[in-house]
Amino acid sequence: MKPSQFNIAINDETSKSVILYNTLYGTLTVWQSSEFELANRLLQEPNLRLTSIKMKTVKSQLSKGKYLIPANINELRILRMRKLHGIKDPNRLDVVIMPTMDCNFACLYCYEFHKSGTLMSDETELAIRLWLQREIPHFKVLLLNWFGGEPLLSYDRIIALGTFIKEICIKYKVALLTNITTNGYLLNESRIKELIQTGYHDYQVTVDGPAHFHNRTRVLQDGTGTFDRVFNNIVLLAQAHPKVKISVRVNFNQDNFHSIPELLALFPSPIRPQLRIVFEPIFGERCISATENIPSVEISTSLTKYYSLAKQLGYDITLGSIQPGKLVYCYAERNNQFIINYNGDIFKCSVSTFDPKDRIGRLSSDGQVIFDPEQLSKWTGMDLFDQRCYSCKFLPLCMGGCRKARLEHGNTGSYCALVPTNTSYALKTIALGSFSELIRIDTCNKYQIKRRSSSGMHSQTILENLSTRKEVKTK
Amino acid sequence: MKVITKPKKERSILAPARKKTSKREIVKGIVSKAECCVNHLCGCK
Repeated sequence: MKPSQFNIAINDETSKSVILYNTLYGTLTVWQSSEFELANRLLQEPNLRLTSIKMKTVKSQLSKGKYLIPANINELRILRMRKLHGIKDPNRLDVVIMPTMDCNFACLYCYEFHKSGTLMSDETELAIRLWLQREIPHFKVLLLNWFGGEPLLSYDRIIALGTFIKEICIKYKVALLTNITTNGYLLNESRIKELIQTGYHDYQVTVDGPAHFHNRTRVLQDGTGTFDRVFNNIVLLAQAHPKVKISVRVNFNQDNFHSIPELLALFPSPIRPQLRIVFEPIFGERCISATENIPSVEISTSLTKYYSLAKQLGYDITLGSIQPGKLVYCYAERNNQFIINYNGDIFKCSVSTFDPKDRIGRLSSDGQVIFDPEQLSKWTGMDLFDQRCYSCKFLPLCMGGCRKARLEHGNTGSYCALVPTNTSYALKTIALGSFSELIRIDTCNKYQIKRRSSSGMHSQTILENLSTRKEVKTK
Repeated sequence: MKVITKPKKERSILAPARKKTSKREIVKGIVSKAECCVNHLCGCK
């Protein structure tokens, strides 16, 4: 027997217990400190002679939890297999359509370069129709996301193409999951009605705090604030149909971070369950970057507090599960994932300037995907994980980090996405040692332990590691 | 010792990418756009 390389033990000094977590299989157990002494000894010396019934019992518990595993098990091979399964997933087709690169907003932090007049042509729409008509029947699920620019600038195309895609999915019994990422400004009552009739129930709209903050960052091209209209449209959209779900995304930095409670108080209570609240740090120039200006610990602890507050107020909050099972880091790693730009260019990652020289391929007028082998191999040809990932206890929860960042950092292994602001809530929470918070939320109070001391050895170690890591700039 | 979560079986972890898995099961496992945002380092929109 040998110990799993993915065991994490965290002391909870307040409750005199130890939380033992295995990131590969998601086993989570809580031990009294006194009984953990024996467990820890067996983890360190798994082949120790068992001289008492208690020793046998504890060893059996460790073995059942996969904290102790047979010596011939190669855990890294298991992870490589998981990732390969995810990359080759034959069941789902992920399509992001960007009907324009133009935008009516000029948000201070946006990483995109907007181009006026860049609307999708009828020829490109036809190519998309031909391609999807051929591809959709091969899959069980189609994920269709509208992105941009501001996709509602091409409203008619969203309706026409959306109707067409929905009909194909019905014909071939393919499940269709849609989403529109919009700034919300161009919605109105009649459009909302038509969008819902077309089957669009899932949206993402960004609101950067109450009006006095939102109107500084999310402005029209002429600098006019947009809060009132966007806020009212979110309310209208949610009230239009009970199936509507809106991810309300709050991009924060040092200016608006602590205005979040004020924003949460503004939305009417009846629609709150339809609003999924997401807080995301602003990246980019030093002066506006959240992580350059707010200490990591403050971000992590305040986010935990604000997510809890959102939950108390009746919002739908999104927390990464503490169960493992991720197959890939993000959708862009999947082979059957495509971002189609307004001109038919194909990309993998949505955090891009969408320069044609970076495209991995293009759609031909007859709806064929023509790959650029050189660009494609840059994306797909890299190792499944960075060398450094193989010794990271969090790898099963993260699955290797951002591929684009790995590309940009020359695959040196110096980059790691494990910072408390840009990875899953579960991972952040575990990394920062607030495991008890996570258990409290995740088990709906079935099992409660008191908040652990912040001086735990594990969290200190992690924080020291975090402080040496560099933040990636996506602007 | 109290068990909060038991180890997940490898078969269930790989299920979403298996040919035999039902459409319903696959859909159940797909994370929302919001969760996708929480899980990843992306730029701000």
